[in-house]
Amino acid sequence: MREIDDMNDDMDGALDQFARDAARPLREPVHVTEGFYAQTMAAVRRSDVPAPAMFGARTIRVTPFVALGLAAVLIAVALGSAMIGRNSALKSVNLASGAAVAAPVVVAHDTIHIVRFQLAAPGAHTVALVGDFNDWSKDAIVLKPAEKPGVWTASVPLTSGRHEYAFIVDGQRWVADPYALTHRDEYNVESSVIRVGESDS
Amino acid sequence: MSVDDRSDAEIVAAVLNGDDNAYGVLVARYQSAYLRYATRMLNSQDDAEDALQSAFIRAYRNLASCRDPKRFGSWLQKIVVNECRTVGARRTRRELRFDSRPATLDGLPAKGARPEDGLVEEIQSALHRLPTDQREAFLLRYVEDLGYEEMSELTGAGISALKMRVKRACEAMRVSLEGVVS
Repeated sequence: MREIDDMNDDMDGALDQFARDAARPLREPVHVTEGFYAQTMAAVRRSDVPAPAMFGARTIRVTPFVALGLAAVLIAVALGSAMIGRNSALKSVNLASGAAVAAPVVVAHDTIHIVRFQLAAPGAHTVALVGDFNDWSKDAIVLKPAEKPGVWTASVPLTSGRHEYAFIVDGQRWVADPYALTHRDEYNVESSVIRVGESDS
Repeated sequence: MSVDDRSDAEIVAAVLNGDDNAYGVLVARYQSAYLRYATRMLNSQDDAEDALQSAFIRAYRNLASCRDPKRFGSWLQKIVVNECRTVGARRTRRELRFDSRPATLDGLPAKGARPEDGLVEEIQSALHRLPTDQREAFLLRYVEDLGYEEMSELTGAGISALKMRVKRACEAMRVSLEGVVS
C-alpha cells in the first residue's frame, strides 16, 4: 500500500493506471532453472568465508593498481633481503618468488568472476565442462540448454587468472571451444584457454 | 530445501558463526523474487541467473557488512540491482564485440528472431527498449511495488529524478504498447 506522499505528481491518473496494467503480467513469478540452487551453493562454498563483523581475518579490497604497487614493494623488500643475506641465495629466491605470488593473490581472492561457458551443440544429449578449475572432472559441471536452441550453457565462478578447459559432449567427445585460444598438452590434446580478470569480457 | 522458520537475522548470525548451509535458506527464500526482477531487467533468464548468482556470492562474502540483518532482503536487493547493471553493461559491450560473428554463442536471440507472441513478451520487449535507468525505475515502482524512498535507497538516485524516470518510462511504454495494453 502506498502512502499519499509517495505519489508521483508528474503522473496523471490515466498514465498511472496504464503503468499498473502494463506491469501486471510482469509480476508473474519467474522460476529458477533446475540446478541453479545447487550451483549457487557450490559457488558459495568455494568462496571466501564471511568474516565476523569485528573479529578474525577480513578480506582487504584493493584495486589491481594498488595490488601491483603492493607486489612491487614486496618484491623490493624480498630482493633487499636477498642482497643483505650473503649466504642464503636459495632462500632469497624463494622469498622473492613467494612475494611476487602473494600480492596478486589478494586480488584473486577478492574477485570472483562469473564466467558463462557456452557451446553450440545441436543434437547433443549432454554437455559437460571440464577444466583446471574442477580438476577435469566431467561430472562436476553439467551444462544446461540455453534460451537459444542447440546452445548449452553453464555459469561458473572463477578466480582471476589463466584457466584451461574443454567440453565433453555426450559423455565421450572432447571438444575445444571454437571461439577461444587453444593449448596443446604433451599428448597433443587440444584444450581452450581463458584469461579471467585480465580484460572485461 | 526445507521450510525454515528462522528470521533472516537469525540465519545471518548462523552463517557468520560458520554454518554455511544456513545460507542456503536465504538463497531459497529470495531466489525466485529477485530472479523475476533480474529477468525483467535483463530480458534474458540466462543473464538474470548469472546476475543473481553473482549477487548471492557477493552477499555471502560481505555478509559481515550487512549492518541490519533484519533487513537482509533489502540489502541483498541492492546488490541484485547493482549486479543487473553490471551484467547489462557487460552484455552491451559483448553485443558490440560479437555482432559480426556468423554464429553467435552468447545466448542472445538470433537477429530477426521474434520472441514468442504473447502479452508478457510484448510488454517485456517494450520495456527492453527503454534506457536502463528508466527500465529500472519502472520495474522497482510498478513490478516490485516499492515506494520512492526505498527506490532511492536502492538505486542511489534522488526521488525527483526517480519520479521523472518513471514518468518517462510510462510515457514511452504507452506509445510502444498502444493497442496492446488499454
